[in-house]
Amino acid sequence: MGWTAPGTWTETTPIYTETDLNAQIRDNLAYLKARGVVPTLEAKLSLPDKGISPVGAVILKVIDAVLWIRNAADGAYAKIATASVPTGTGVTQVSLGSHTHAPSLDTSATVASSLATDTYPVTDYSHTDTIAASATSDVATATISFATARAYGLAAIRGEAATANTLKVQLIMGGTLIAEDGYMSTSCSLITVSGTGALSGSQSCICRVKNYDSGSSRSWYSDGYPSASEVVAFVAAGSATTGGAV
Amino acid sequence: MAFTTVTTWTVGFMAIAAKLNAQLRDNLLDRKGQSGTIVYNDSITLADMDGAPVGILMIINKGGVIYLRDIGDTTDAKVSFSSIPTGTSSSTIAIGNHTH
Repeated sequence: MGWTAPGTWTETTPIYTETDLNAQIRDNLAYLKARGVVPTLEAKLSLPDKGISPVGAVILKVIDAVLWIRNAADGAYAKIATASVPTGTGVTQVSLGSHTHAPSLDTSATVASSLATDTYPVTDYSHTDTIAASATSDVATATISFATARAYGLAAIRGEAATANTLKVQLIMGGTLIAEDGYMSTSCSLITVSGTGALSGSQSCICRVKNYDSGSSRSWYSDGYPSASEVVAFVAAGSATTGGAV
Repeated sequence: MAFTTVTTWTVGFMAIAAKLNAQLRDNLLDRKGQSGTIVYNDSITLADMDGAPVGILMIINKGGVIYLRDIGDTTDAKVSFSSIPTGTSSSTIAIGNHTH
């Protein structure tokens, strides 16, 4: 039962037969009510605002088999293509509420993208590193070829500043300051900074100490237990996939 | 009782024809969408087309924002794009490969 174009009534209209009237009135009303058929409407749908404080109509329309909605409160049409929204907790999926995205490590990549490290070359127990005013000291540097655009890095120092509020430990990746700790304490502590960056290709990852005193050189002391397994400072970096399975 | 001239019924029929055209034909065409945007006076209810129907779905406009009410919802669910923060910051949503 489809749609029958209703005729126009005129003075000279021939008497409609019951077949005509059933098709044009009964069946068309049933068609619009969607009884036994999926009606094809030929224009946008406009719904009145039933809210307590109405602001305007909502309009539904279809373009190229995709539903679009114009909320008066939004002021513009927005496409509703639910099949195009991947839901879940995968790296490239969307979830609502508290959840965890767990990108997998890029273990399938080449050796170049796996973890790369460097350690502070000094092995004496209490080495002094003096940094000129407003200058920096690269404590450890690792060069890595990131296999993907998602790079992760960690820099750590076990030491203390000679003067409070002068030095900070930084993580530099690809020439960009990725993370920076607060001022280095004058009491020995383990300082770690970590972060991520959008990097790819061969990049240098640096554990750096910056002297924020623009007027004087400042020093920090390594305070580690150098041995075959323990170091004063190190930097580590690697990459992980952004599209892998969870 | 004098004879009354019999007039034609044209005028009366035309009035009826006009009403039929306006109230029947044009209303049918309006609901079909052939005269522009189909404007409703209330919300729309869609029947459950599943083989084992459990309830209807309503499409409602509240405050200029569309809401859907299905039998699984205890309250109307808002479909508001402005309420979805899009972007790549930690509290926004983005589709496809991106970095938060």
